[in-house]
Amino acid sequence: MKKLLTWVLFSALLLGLAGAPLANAETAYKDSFIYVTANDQDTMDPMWNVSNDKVLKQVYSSLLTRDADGNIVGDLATEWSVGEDQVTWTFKLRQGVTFHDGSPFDASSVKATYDRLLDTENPTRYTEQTAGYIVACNVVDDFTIELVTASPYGAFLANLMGAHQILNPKTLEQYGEDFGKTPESINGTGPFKVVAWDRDEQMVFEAFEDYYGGAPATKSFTIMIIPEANSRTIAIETHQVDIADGIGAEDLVRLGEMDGIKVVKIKSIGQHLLQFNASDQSILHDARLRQAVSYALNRQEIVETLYPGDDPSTAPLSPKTFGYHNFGTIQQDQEKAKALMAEAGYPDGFDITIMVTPVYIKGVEMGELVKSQLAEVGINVNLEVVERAVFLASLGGLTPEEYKQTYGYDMFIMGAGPSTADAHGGLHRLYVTDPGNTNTNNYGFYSNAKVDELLNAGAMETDQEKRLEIYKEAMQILYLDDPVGVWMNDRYNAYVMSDKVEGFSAGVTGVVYFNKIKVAK
Amino acid sequence: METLRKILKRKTSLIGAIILTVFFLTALIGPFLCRYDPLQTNPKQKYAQASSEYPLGTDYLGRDVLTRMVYGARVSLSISFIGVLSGALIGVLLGLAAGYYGRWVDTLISRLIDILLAFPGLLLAIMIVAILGKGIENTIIAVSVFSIPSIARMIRGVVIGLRESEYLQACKAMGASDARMIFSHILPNTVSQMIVNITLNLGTAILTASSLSFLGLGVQPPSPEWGAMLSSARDVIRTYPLASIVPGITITLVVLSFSMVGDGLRDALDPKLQYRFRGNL
Amino acid sequence: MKYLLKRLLQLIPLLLVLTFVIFLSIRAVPGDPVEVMLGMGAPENAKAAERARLGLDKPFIVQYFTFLGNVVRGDLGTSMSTGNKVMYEIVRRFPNTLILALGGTLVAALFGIALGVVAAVRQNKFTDNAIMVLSLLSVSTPSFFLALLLMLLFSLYLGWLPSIGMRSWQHAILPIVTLGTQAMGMVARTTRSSMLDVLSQDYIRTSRSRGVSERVIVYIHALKNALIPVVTVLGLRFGGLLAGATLVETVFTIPGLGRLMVDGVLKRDYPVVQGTMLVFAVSFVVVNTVVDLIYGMIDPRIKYE
Repeated sequence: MKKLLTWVLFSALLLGLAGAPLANAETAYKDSFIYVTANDQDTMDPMWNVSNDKVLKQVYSSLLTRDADGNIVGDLATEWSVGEDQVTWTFKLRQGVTFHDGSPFDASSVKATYDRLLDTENPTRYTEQTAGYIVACNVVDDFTIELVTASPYGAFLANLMGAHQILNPKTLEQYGEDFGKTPESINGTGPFKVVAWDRDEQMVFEAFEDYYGGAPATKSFTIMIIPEANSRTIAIETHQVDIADGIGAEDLVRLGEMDGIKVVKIKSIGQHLLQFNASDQSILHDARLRQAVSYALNRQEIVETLYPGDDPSTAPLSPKTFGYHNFGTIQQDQEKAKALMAEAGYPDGFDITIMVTPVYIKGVEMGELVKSQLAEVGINVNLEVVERAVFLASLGGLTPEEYKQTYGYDMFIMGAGPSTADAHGGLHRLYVTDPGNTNTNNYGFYSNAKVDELLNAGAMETDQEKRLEIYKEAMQILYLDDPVGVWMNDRYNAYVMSDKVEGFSAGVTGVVYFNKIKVAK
Repeated sequence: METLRKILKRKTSLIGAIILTVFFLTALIGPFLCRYDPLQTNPKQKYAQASSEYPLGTDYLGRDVLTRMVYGARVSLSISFIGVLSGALIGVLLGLAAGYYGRWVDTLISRLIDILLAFPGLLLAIMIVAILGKGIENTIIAVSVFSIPSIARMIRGVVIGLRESEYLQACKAMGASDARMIFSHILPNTVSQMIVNITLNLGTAILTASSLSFLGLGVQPPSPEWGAMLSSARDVIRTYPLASIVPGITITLVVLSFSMVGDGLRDALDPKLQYRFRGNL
Repeated sequence: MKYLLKRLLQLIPLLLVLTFVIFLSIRAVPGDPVEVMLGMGAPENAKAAERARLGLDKPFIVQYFTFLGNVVRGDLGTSMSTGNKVMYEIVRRFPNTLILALGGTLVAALFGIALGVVAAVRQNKFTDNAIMVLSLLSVSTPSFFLALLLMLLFSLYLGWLPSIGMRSWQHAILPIVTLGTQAMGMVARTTRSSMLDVLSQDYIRTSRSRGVSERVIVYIHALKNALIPVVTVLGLRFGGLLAGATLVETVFTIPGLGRLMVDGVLKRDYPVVQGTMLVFAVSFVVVNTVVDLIYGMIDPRIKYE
């Protein structure tokens, strides 16, 4: 008896020891992680949100989405096609999808969403643009819907990834105006739900286990808001947080070399540019003078100084946007600039006012460098630095005369980057002659008949290859012949994280795929 | 002269006075001695280390920090002097009126001062700059408004104290006019307190201006102002510390000197003075 | 008593004028809250809809009286940017600012008084001068600079203390120390001069000649009387710290009232700015009045008519 007992115990011990390494072979992961950024969302209502894309697409889904390589793939839609008339698009919807509150997703959700988006009586922020090209949303059956466009529309599919997140009809009805302002009113089909939101402090997310794409890798995460850049840097260095964005270029170099920290850079669709006031109220109405300014500048120097690691722009679109063509960076040519100035009647130079704002990273510094460079060819710059509210007010639908009177800027800094990652979004709204001649969309009062023709054609053309050709022609004008502005750099988004973070990825529009992230303990 | 000797006897005031003299000289003459143009950008030399060419290194656009510090002295000097002196002038007038005429004039002005004091210092400055816009002129106005209440209150107190004195009653009985009373008899008694108050306010003014610039609301680039220089370099304080530490320490030193000299003045002119120090950022 | 009532009554017109000035000023600032909220490229109809929803299209006077009516009922309006009640946002943050101001005052009091007493006792010796210079130094350093240096030293290089937010008592240490250091100098100087004043009084010399120990004299008899003006300085500094907390809140990312207000100004969020400025102004006025009254009560030399 005693011998048997001993053997049993001994075997148990052996098995226990054998089992132990197996248990340790699995890495332990944290239950939640902290992501830190500079600004909070203004609202979680996709039809009013202007802050950024980062989290909306993790809470809500739309019919289509882009994968990590930028290709259009189905999200809530599984199949889609356009009819013979080229305007009726039919979408087959995914079955078995539920919202965070458990209610089922079907065609009625899509209909309710588009009814709200297209309601011109009670417009949302994006109603006017959307109603311009979608005329109807029809339910065919529980899992099939139709979207009808006004005319054949080449950029249609790309546009569906903008403000077209699918909402829950009951939640919309229940919360009305307060939709998207509190965690209870945020109800989507994405991999995460919002469980707490302390404005300008933090937003707490919890995994939605029934997400049709599979439960997220980590159960919960928090987005913490820290406006001070230094504080963010210190937070990641002292491991008070796991991931941080919006870190300055100089710190990125230093952090990249530190142990325990890695830097991930993802090219985005964003660019910085200095846009011209091309109206007849500005001296820069003359295309030759705009070209002169363009040739007088040394973009490489500016980008190297202020945005080390970025590429100087080579087109009015970033390489990550559909429709991009590489025209090459415009090289500084002071002689040519002076010749153009002389030809236009200003051989000794002229005066302009440039407006910059710190809303754009290093925006003010860019203004200072530009002022310095233009002085070398005799262009005298008066630099105006304004804050965000004034910057936005200057773009608030003024006529050229009103603009001249209140602001009088000849050039101003601007950020560009269509969230649809498509040339149409990046060019059409901004550079087509504005029917009311105000600067609501066309900030620089730009007007060129040939460009109008081309951009309208590009919108309607459904053959994507042909679209590339059309946009190339349009951009030749926008970039060189009749310049809209001076494009500076193609931006990337940089993320700094501890090297224990696994599975990190982000899209070109700035969305972070939080559902794939896990952080080792 | 007796006063001057008394001030210089204290070691701290002496050091303060020396630093201030350097400050004034730098502001006045410095620009003529500088090698570089404070506004000339030189991007290739961005954030250069301290060397014989650039004794304090360069800033984010390759401009020589030393040159910008020197020109910045001029900027700080003008903001503080013009701002504080104009504020003091208004304050004196208000304080005199309140103290001398009393009754409803006093109540009105005292409440006005209370309103000014009710707005927390920095926030008052932010509001003024937000309404009027940024830039050096409006920073001066903000500083000026800042300086009014403490002087007004102080003058009012002195005037009230003197108003009932026998000497003044006698003058009035002899038919002296209001103006004569104010300018010949009352004001001279306030001079010592005013000097102390102004000196200390000058230091506060520099702090206010630099705080405004730190928040992006004060003097605008590319003008060199110490607070703005500190602000624009604070993001790189870890890799290029000189660009922010130099302005930070200089602001501290100059404000400190004003305080030390002000202290010395107060001790020399009237050891028993007590009054409330208002602004602190 | 009559004086107290009179001062309190005078507060009301003061506050009325204050609210009017605030109301007017924020609207005089160039920039439109709706444009800030909706960003670039917002169509006119969306902007008009928002304006109507927020009541911004009504005439100024109507807006003002609506505001006043609400204030009386304790409703400070609704934030345009977050949609939450302003009162809610303020209540959420006021405690943080209060903690900073109180903590700072406490630090200033403890260290300031201690240093002031030491300086007075060792008058004109090296210690005295050193302490005086230190005090002046603390008052002259820009708070954001000091905050930055402290954060770098204690949070980064030494790794002792956290530097973001206000989630635990350790988080409050650095910001309180920063704020307190600034006020400490003032308190030290006042304590010193007040102590010197008292120590030269007759009754102190009498105590000495009667053989009372030096320690008892200094710490009990003299300090008690010397603290009178110090208390008033502390009271006033408290009000100043409430506001001065703004810069510290910015550097240490603490959700406080000062930052709320500055953000409100930058976003042109009228209700937030009106509400926070009102709260600040009321606090400050109350503190000033209370300090005046205390000073009047404990200092037998002052008489108010």
